[in-house]
Amino acid sequence: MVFTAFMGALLFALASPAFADGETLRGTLQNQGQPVTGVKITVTSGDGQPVGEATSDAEGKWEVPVPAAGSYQVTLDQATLPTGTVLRLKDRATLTVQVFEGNYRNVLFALASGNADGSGAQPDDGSSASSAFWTRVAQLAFEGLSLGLVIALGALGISLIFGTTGLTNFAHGELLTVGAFAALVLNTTLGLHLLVAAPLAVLISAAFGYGQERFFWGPLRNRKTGLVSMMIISIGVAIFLRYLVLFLFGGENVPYEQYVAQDGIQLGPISTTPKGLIAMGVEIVVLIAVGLALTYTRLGKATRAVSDNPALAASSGINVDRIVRIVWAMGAAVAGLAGIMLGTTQILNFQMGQQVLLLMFAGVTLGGLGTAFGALVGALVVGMFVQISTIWIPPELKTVGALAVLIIVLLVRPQGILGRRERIG
Amino acid sequence: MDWELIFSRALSAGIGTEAVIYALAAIGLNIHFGYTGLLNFGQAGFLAVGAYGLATTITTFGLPFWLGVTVGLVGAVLFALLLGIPTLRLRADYLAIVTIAAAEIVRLVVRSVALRGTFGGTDGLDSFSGDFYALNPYSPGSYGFWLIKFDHRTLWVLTVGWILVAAACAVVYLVMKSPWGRVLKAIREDEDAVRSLGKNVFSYKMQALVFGGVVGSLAGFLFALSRAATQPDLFSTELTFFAYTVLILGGAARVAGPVVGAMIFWLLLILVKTGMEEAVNHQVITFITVNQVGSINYMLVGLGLILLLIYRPQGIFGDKREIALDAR
Amino acid sequence: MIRIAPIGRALAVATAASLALTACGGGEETAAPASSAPAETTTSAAAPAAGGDGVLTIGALLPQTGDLAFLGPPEFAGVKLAVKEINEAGGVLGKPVVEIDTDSGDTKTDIASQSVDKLLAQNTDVIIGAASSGVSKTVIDKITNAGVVQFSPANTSPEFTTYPDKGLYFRTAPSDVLQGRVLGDLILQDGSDTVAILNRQDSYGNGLADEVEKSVSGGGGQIVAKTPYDPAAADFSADVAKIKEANPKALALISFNETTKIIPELKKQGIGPDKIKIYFVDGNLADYSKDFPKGTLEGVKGTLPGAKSPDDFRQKLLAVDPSLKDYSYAPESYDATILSALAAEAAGSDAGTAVAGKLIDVSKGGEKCTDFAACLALLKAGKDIDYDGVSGPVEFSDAGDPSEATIGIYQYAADNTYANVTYLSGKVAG
Repeated sequence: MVFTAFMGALLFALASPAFADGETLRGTLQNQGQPVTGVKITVTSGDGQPVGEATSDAEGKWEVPVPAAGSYQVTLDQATLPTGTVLRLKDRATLTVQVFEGNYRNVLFALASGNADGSGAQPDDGSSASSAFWTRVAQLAFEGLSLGLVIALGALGISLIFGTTGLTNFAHGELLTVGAFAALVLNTTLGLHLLVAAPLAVLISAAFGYGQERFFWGPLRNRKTGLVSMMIISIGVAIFLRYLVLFLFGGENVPYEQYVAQDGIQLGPISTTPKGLIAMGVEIVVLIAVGLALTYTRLGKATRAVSDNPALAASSGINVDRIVRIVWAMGAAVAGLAGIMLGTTQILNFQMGQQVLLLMFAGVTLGGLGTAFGALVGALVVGMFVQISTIWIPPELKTVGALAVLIIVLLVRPQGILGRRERIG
Repeated sequence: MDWELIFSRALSAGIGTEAVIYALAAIGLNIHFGYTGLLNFGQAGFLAVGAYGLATTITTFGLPFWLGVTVGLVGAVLFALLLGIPTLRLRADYLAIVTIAAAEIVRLVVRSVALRGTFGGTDGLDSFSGDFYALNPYSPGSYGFWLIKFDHRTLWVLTVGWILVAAACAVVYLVMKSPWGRVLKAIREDEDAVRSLGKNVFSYKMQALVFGGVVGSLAGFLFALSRAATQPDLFSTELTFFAYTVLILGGAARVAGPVVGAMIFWLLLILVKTGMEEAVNHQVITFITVNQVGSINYMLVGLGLILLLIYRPQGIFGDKREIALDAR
Repeated sequence: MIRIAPIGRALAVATAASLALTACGGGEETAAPASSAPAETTTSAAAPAAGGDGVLTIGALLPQTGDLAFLGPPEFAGVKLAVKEINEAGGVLGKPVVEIDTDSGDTKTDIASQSVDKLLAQNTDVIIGAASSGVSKTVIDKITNAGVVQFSPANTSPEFTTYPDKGLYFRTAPSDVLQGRVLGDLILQDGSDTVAILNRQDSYGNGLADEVEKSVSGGGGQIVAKTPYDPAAADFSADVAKIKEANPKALALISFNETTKIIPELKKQGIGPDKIKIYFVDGNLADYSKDFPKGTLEGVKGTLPGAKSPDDFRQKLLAVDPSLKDYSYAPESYDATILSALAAEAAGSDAGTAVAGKLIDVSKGGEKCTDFAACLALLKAGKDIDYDGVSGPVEFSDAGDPSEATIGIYQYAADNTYANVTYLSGKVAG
């Protein structure tokens, strides 16, 4: 113990002198990575007394020792700058710098290529700023599309489940989380490559959705449980599942094994990652496939019939229970896929599903509750709006914008973009 | 295992600040959901408006305590009006989604970086409780009997809190016996029937929303004052859902339902939590860590909510016929 | 230890209480405690609820979960090691010190407040914590109003220097005035004239960002973007796009665990550690070997308050917790615990207010000593002591901040772990 503290004291004693050997002002002059030599630097004390001067050496370095801690004025003699090199900020040739006791202080003069008259110091500032702005707009639109697709996958399930059973499922966000974490278990614990783990996890999600309907929601409906009751039950399910994931996996951000921190690629003004593009491609393919299936297959037509009028559908020979189970399995599968894509492009966390739940609701409501295609359109609009709105509002308020739009839409057109009037009744 | 600690914590929680805050929040919800049938999922927003109305007035603008209380109450009324205008004509599930969204908007706005100077950002606000505790009639020290012990500050919060709960219960009792209250209940049962009697359903719903919201903002005051600080993330959607659990546990559409629900909810929650923590700390339970106790607790709340609604939606005191669970 | 009998009674009373409340609809609860008050108040005259029971109870309010969970293990180990050594040397005021561990969570949860309630209910005298400045701020009023010392080993926000804490708040971590100055200087030394700051929006992030900005622009650099972000944000693409638009040569990333989301986003948008110079701070200087593929963070530099902890101190910590991976803030936690014990001994009382009264005194001005046993012997001999700790000389200013400190500069290698480059010492004031 004595030794410990002695070591500590010794180290401290050793560490300090290395920096306590005098207060110094120093710096390195560089222009685009190249050292700038022969530039005169003058240092005066706060009250104007000269302290010392130095000339930058072959590496661009200069150093002026000062007598004590305090405030000093450091001036770069612009006349000694080589031709073609100027101060990037003309008014910053003299800097007032605070030097602290026992420490050196680095001083930096930003240099740029240009003419002494300053015309070339900040070349075409205006146009580069505006092009940077449009780059950002393009980037945000792209991010919006990417977010919108994820929301659309989730919103599709919410909308179909609502259409066929009338249930507003507050536990739908957790279907994303469960799918993503199912892939994580396959990926990290069982060591499967993500490309293998992801489809398996989608299957697990489908089974999970099917099981939920078969053994939980179906029996509840048969007990004639009220819709509001079921809505609150779904909140219970959401809380239970969310904290089950927290219990099992902890609260930290976890990545998959593969495709972490990929290098960006540049597509015109848009920077993205290969995994981001592939994720978007998969999402678009799945959404189109589901859309086509709903429109053209027997099953899809039956689903739309049930969601239109379950009683009528049943009387025309459609097995409503079977359709509802398939809808649940399909909704959970696409939600699980959305979760995996979110986990791949970003990171996994037990709250990941909850964080997009309200955006999914916004998309569904915007499109019109209960209409599958409305949900798609609404989700894409919400995703784009959320990201692009950050041009005008602070990023942390982007969700506020989407939620505010949701409320305003309900005020103006409560049935949503593609909804029908009587549904809101 | 320290059984004394476990029971002392559980009993204290059962009559402590959490129970008072959730009792008030649930009384507000009871007016919305229990009596009027409004599925308000944004009660956390009313608490946030109350808490931040108070804290912002005092901390940011340096104004007196009572003005802060006024701002909080007025804020709750305004929030109810803003919330009610677009939503009260909508069906139950739309109303649920919109109210939850509105409460999230409040939370996101007060935690935003841009308004940090006013609302304190993610850290929230502090140093606003001085005036409240200056009114404290109890001299410093520890008060209590047997296993229940509170310090003078908590006792002062509890005194004010239980008086507010009693007052709120009394008002709800009287109001629900009045013709006005009967209209609310009638709206819950059959909105169209009430409309056909020439009553302005929208206006009655709005009044109920304002009334319940103001009671919720009282809970917000106590939430902020008991902690002597307020953070935006305390007012997340989970607060609303816990309040629903409390309400359904005690029994909706009953005056004492939320109060008893809150007491039992917190007694059980802390009993289980502290019990498990102690069990883990003393190696009675070895397969989980202390950190996991919190998540088990939340899982039990979720499970409790599910089971309650399936097997006893009327809760302890409620009447099944009076619960608006089939409304559309 | 009371066992079965009280459970029955407890349940009976609970039932009775709830029945009583049912009858009257609630609200009569306060009558009973008030009537039993006079008997209690005589025992605790001036000092509020906490302390004065003869046993120094130290509550650790440190992160087991949440954004800063990675800082938890070394901090707990530091406290545990100190308590072990104190008790081996005979304890404080002749009695062993009691340690209670609780979780501080983060500002997204209400865990800290509940933990403080639990600690206060167990007559805690000194609370070691929290790690995050934001969390500390949420509980400081509660702790100090109860007359308990709050002693943080890791709070660096400059706000606490001037906070009205009734003289009960102390810390062994230096205010970010120094870390910000060192980091700013480091950025200039590396020759970056346009600098962006991406910081957590909380008292820690804002405080450090302001200090870095002051240091960079004071030394001739230019802050081209200073973007505070919401720590709970689902994605950071918009925040990073803002930084990219400003086209900086260097980026100071002042964050906690969100780093695992921000770094991939930076790489995606083409301003990753391979393109511009990125600097970490104490909140995110961690081992990322499991989070990122090899080479991701190579060359990233960072600052962390605290001198190098001596090897044998590390060995002792490992004996306490064999699973430790790094040692951030372990010395500070250890020193905070030892100092509290010494102050209690010097005051002759374990009450929070008494401990606070002596903390500044034992940290400076007197006969130097470097471990608990030696300091205790000096105190018993009636001498004034000056404890010099593992984290540094620990000389408290009147505000309860360390007035001198050491900042380490670190650099990441290809395997995403960090190693020290150098240490800088300096006075915090100025």
